Amino acid sequence: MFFTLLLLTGYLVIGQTVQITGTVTSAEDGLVVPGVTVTVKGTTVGAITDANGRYNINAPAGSTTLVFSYVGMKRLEVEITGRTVVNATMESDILAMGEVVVLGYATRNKNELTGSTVQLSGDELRSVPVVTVDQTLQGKVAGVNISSSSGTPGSVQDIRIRGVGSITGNNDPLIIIDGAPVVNSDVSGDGASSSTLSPLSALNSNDIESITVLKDASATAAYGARGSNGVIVITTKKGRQGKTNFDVSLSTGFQNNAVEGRVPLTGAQRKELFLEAIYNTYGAAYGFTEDEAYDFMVDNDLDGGDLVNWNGEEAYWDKVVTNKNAPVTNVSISATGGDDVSSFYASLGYNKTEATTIVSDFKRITGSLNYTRKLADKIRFGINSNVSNTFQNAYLEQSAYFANPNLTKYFMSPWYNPYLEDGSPNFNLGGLFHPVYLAENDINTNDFTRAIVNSYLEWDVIKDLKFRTFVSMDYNLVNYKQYQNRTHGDAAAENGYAYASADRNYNTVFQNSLDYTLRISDHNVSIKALMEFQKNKHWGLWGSGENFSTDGLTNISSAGANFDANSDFNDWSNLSYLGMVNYNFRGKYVADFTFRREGSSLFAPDHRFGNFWSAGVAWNLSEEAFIKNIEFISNLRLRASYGLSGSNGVGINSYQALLSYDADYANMGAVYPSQYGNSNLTWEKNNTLDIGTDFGFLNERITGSLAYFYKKTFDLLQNVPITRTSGHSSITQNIGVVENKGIEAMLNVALIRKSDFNWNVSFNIATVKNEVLELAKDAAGKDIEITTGQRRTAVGQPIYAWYQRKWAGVDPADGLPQWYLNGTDDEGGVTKNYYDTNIKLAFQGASALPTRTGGFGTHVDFKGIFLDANFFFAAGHKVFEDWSFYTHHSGVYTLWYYNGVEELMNRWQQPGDITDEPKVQYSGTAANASRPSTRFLYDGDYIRLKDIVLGYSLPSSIEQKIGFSDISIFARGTNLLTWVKDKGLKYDPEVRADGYTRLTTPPVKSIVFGLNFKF
Amino acid sequence: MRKIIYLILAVALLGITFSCSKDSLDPTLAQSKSVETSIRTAEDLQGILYGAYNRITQSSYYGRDLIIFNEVRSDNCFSNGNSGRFITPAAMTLGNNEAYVTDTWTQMYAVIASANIIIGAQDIEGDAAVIDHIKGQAYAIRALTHFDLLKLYGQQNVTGGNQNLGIPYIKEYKGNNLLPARNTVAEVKADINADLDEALTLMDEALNDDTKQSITTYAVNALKARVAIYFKDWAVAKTACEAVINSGAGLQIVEPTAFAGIWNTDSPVNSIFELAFSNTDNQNINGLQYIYRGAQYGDIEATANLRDLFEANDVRGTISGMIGLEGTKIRNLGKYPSLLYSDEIFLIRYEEVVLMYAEALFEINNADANALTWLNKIPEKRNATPYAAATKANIMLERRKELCFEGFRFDDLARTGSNIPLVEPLKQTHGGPTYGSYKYAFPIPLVELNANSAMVQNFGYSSTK
Repeated sequence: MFFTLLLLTGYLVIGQTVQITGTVTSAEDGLVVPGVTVTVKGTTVGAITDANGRYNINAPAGSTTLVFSYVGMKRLEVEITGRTVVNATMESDILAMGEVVVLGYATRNKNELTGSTVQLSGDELRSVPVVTVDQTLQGKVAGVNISSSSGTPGSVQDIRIRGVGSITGNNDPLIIIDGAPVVNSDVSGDGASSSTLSPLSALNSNDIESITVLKDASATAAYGARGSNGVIVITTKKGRQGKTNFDVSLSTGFQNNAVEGRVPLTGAQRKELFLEAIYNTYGAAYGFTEDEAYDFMVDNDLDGGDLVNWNGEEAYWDKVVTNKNAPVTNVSISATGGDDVSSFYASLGYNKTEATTIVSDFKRITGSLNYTRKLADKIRFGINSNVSNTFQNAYLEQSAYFANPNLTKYFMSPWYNPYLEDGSPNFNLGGLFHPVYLAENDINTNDFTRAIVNSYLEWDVIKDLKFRTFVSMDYNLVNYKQYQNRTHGDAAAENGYAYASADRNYNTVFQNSLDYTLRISDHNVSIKALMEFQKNKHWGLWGSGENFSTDGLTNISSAGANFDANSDFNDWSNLSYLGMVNYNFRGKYVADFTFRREGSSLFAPDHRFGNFWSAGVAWNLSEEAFIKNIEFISNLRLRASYGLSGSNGVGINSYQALLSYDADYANMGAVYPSQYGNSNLTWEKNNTLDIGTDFGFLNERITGSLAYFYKKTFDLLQNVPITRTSGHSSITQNIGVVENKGIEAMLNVALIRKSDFNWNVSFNIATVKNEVLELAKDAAGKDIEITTGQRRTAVGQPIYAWYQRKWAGVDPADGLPQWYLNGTDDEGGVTKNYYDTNIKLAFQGASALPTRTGGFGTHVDFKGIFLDANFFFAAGHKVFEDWSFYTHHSGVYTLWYYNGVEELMNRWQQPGDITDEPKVQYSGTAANASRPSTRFLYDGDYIRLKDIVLGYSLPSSIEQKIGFSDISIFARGTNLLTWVKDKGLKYDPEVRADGYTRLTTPPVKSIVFGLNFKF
Repeated sequence: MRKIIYLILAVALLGITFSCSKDSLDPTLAQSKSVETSIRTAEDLQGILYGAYNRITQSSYYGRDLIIFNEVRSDNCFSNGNSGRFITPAAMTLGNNEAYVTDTWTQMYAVIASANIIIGAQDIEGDAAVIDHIKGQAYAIRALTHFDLLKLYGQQNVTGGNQNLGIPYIKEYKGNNLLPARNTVAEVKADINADLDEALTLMDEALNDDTKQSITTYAVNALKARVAIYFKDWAVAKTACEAVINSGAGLQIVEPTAFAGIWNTDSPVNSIFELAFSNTDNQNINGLQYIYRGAQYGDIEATANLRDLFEANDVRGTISGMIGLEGTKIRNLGKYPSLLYSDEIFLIRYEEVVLMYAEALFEINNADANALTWLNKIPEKRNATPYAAATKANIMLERRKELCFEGFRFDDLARTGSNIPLVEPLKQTHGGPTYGSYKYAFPIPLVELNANSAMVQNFGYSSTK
């Protein structure tokens, strides 16, 4: 009701009027243009052209001018004095389309930029079958590397922009949604062991207008303090003037694991190896032949009855846990419209995606309403709201949990049949759990509700001076529920276990800003001053209980014993002041300067504020007369920027020396020192130099850019290891220097450009060289190197370079494993003892960070048929196969306790055999052959067909007949082809930023069919 | 128009008001408190003391690992590696970067840090006797933990390197020296004894905890005896044992009929100091219960050699279900039996004191008839045949039978200069190292070597940094 009234007042007309009619056509093709807003200048009187481009308006007497406006066309003013029929011809505004870059706080014409940015439009995101929008960036933006933490839909993505600068701090970019910095860490109730859930899973990619990636100091300067790792600016769709348009997007399809992964041993293979192992180990000493190994096994109970009881049927556990052709469905409907005073965008979306592993799926419903209105002549109001509910069926996938179905695939003995003869599940599985039974009887779910409301008021105080006040509220509520059944699984001993948590995060941002634009002849200056305050509050609450008296009731209220509960709270805040100046002279010379002073509650009281800045210049050569004369060059510009940005990627209250109270002893509260503290803790800083050129040749048929960057991160927020005798393992300090440098290039070529036949090819590549220049030193002046697992950070190496034993293969003489003593080559000889005290670990020449990433693609359209293909590649890094100790064990781990992979069949059997698989033994250590070494370190290089789309857009002649527009149908394939350089790397090469393969749901390949249309 | 402008200004003001309040950038401390300002009363000290006890109960220390290390490196138990646990400790082939090596070291020094906060606390409000009693316990905890560190990482049982290398003895929380070097074994021993004596000076028998879930004066004396036995200070051991035996605290050897029941009973008559666990505060699947039994983990099996030591009627053997079969595996079924992980772990019980006393008497005078009397007090209460003579072998045998699965065996072998017996070559993976082997000590963790350039690696282990 309220809205209706407001709208009516907008049309309120007083006094005598003159009726004016006319038709609006396009200058380009002479066709009529529906949806054009026609207003009488100086009034709020307006109308919109109909499907035939006609309008009808009652102008107040004495009106002199009509204003015609339409998105993508140049605004037109027409004198009307004394006329009643006014036809208009509008020209398209090419510069406005696609050339405007959204920087978060500001929007700039591309020619006004001095920094390095890449923007993707909503069209490129539409219908991509991923549930978190950041996934769509991979391969499209040079210098951005994205890897999925899991193929489970909704999982968190690891995003790295231009390498990594921080060792133990955060390397994630800052995410901005509609102008407000948001919290973007895992929201799952149990992300440490179960599936993760990205807060971006709350957004419907069809609601996104654009995503801009800001890479260098100039581009990120506005976010200076927290822009060190790059910034991703997400802008949602806004209302458009014109009659109400509906946009429908439907797609459905299915997905499977992109790469099959290793193949587990079959029961028969395992039996063969097991008996061989017994013979190899005891045959000589106890005097039996290989054929008699079975009898020896039975006599000495070497199989614990497992092989004896096997009925010879193959179990195929890998098939049991796989959800083949997992369906994906996405429906999105939006409406947009508006007039001269108000406009709106509203949408409703639904997504249902099943994972390729049994148990897991994802459902999301999203709604959004973006509304803008002129409250008065000089005052505008806007509100963007996005509300969504995401439901994720998660599972224990983050480690080798016995309840993880992806573990079952490789670890479950093929001698155990999944089902008993009567069809009931077999629970006698050597300690592992039955994945199907758990899938059906256990619960592990995240129910995530996110509401983002951003609203603003803009006031044109005087000409060219704008005041804006902005409030963003982002509320995240995650209800997590876990239930483990009382019959079988992790909680069988406790007779069932239930856990529930509610995590609430509320983030609010206030901004007040002044924008001033000054034009003095050819000098254009725009100035912005902004104050921002951000506060984040987080409440956690959980409870648990055990001992259920019945099946089917899974809440804590039905538990009988051992209740436990907890609540917690934390908060942080940021206060910043920003000044930006952008100057250009005739659009030829551009200079900008940005300064930001920001304080963060994460740092020690006297060290909270940091000053950040950037300066950039650009020269639009193609605006110069001497270039304008060169026909060949259509666009050419040079740009350079330098600046200081920062990062506060550190835990809450890290600067304080703390006592924690969350323990107990003998039912009494227990207190312990939990944090060493550092009263000097302050911002991590980052100097970035960026030099680049953008070019367009042959009337923009060839376009591209080339950039060089040098990024030096210093005062790193680092958990510096200290002697454990202190009772602590590290102190968070500002210490260390890391550099990243590289080249980024993009090239697009329109090979054919005709009205009904276009063919484009594109290519982009980014290189990054990452090196640690300085680390913390101990009191004796030695570098404190940081080692985690198989990785080490040391001066002169990339961050977390692979550092381990070097595999020297299997000795053909006796089938035993060997490692190089000096860690690199056979100059120092080899050893067969993994724990040889003379063995050296060594850097293996790479880290998990690809040194080269990029993409190449093509687009063809011919008479409405279009084909897009985009490849992504990454190279120069190495990937380590985690859990290989188990899956490649040449002893009882693979052959008895758990299962192994089929590569074991290539084991050494007799002197002279050349193979990489040692001889099998009946042993728990099995010569330690499968312990971590370069045996399981692979080149990570791969190329992947990220996306291929084949579709058809109906000709507009047909569309007009049936009353729809922009009708297209398409089939899209994602990750359909993958080429991996290293044949040893059998798992998906797309691994998390730390470079380890995992037992999570692998990345998926999918095929979806879709239909888009408007009316 | 004017109203709307007022509205804009009001909204803008709201933002400024929020951000410009004085404490806008001060974070809330809702779960933790600052160390500098939060230790003022006896109650605060007591909380930190419970924190120290809580740290002792963790899996990486007495909650599981330390006990299992001392069982698998012996003839009592072996690791079948069912869930991949305790393979390398059992094979005695530990690498310097393994969690077993690192986590236990880290946890024990964390306990010491907690104790040092209490010891260093100044100007505490409250009853002086209570404060002293708390501080005394902190001294005792510091001594106990350094003693455990020494037994695990010290070089006293290793030949070929520097036998004097002990472990750093840390006496201050957040002291200035962040590169502590290793003290000698003798220094560590002296510091342990000094701390135990200080504990006895400070503590008040009247304030002893009846539940025995905190260290009592008797527990300090028992610890003193344990240290003395390890270092062959027999006279000291004898005196300390007598202090416990004659304490009048009602300590008894548990009756044979009650023996199986004490393992899931809190504060029984034989308990001197026990670690508290409950249904909600426990080590869950990372406790002793799951490692000794079950199909999920169940990595630790008992040797037939141990099982066969017990006479048919011995209540510690199969007759009472203390040891038995789970499928084809020989298991510790009786100690730490609860499926809800709530069993207390006895850190010191009276039977150990009795056996230490017998040993001290025997060592001081081989002919002392009291040695046999005290030795036989144990089998008499276990339905086992008494010994005919007090010999070192008999005392060690009785210790093995009485204290099996409780983490004593390796130290008993080491302190008597014994080889590790290889009783089941197909199952025990350590291959029976001889006394003096580098394997008698854990390696110093790589993380410690990396962070502390004053640290020296143990003989036989890689110090690759």
